[in-house]
Amino acid sequence: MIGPIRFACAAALLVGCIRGEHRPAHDVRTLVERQLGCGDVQVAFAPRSPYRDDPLTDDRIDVVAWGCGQVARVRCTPSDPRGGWCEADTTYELPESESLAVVKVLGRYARREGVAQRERIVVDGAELVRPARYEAVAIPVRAGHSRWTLDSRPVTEREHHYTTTSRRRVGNREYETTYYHTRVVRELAVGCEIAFALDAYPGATYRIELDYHGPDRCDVRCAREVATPAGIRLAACEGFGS
Amino acid sequence: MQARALLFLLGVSLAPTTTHAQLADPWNVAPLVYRVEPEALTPRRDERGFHRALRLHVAADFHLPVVANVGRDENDDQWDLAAGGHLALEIPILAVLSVGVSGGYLWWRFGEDFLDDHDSLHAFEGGIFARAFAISGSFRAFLGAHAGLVHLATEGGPTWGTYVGPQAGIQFGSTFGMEIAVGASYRRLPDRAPTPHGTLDPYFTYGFYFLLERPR
Repeated sequence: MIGPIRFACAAALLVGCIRGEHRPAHDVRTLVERQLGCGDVQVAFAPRSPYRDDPLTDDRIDVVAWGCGQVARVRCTPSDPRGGWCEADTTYELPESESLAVVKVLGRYARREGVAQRERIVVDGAELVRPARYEAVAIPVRAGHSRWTLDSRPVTEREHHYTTTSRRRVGNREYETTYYHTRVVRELAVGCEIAFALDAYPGATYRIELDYHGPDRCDVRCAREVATPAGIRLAACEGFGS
Repeated sequence: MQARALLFLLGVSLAPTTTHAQLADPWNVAPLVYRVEPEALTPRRDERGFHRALRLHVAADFHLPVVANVGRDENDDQWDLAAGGHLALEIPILAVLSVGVSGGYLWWRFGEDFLDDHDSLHAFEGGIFARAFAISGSFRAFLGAHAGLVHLATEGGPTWGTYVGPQAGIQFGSTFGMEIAVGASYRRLPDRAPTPHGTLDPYFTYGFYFLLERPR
């Protein structure tokens, strides 16, 4: 038994290993290099996008990485370089298109459940997340056909109780100490999701209203704002439907 | 680009104010305009980390038994010992390896009478070392080797010799930490008698280190 342990210790000392060193930029670079298959990646920590205001706890790092002719937006969990991971950042971005329209989205709630209502708006695969608010969010979108998904779910909180144990040996006796911890965990409850398509005109402004009645019960309406001397008039949306 | 400028202007014109009428209208909001421009961001440098920073060691050394009776007949090795201290600069390579330079002073005692000044001598040594580490958090264990020159201030005139040997130890801490090490030096002194215990000089070191660079 001593032999393998001695061999493992000697190997560890000769080869060398580091565990538990906190170097987020290094870890993220390593992860992204592995993911992009590129050995010369620059990374920058991106500021948190205003399109992502998640009421759920999210401690991932938003990263922009570029190298080998590629640019990638990724979200990384670098706490452990060996077990960490990055995934493509699907957060919405202002389109580079010259012809834009503005779509305002607002959720209406008959009653609220949980500590918050999480709204997720997906436009052609890119998502915008925010807690439900009284005012709408106005999203600049590329004019033309787009696929939309509105997803609204209550956020609930529960207390998670757990214990950790530490042991230490003094002489022949082993002492054990148990620590009790409480952590508040935020979770998503059942909500509703609705998908539709919209053909947006360049320069037009649309209002999308989600009426949330409860789990799996919601509907959506659309109107186009028309500016008149008397104020804003609402007209029907073009190409709105499922 | 024009469309974006127009959106910004629209954002300014529709920006909510504190008037009651505007607060009452949930549709009166400015477009949310945001895009990450990679060229506007500064690339992150790799963090150096604690284990990649230069460190300065200050340590006390205890040797037993030592090359105590240089050029003398050994009668009693009861007081064969040495104590001293050293300074070392450790330069990490790839974090798990390091090289360094060290210099120190040793006061050597030997013979029967501890208070007899003739039974002591002063030594200065300087050399290099290399270490391989296993690291877990702020705890580092190492195995290494050292070599260098030793200078003895003896009554018969100064003597130069060499030393080489293994070392092993542990370090723990962050920007400031502690080191405990054991090792041995195989000493060669031309034209001098070795100790009754041979030329192997085991030692124990207790010291502190300070990072000379910010770990970033």
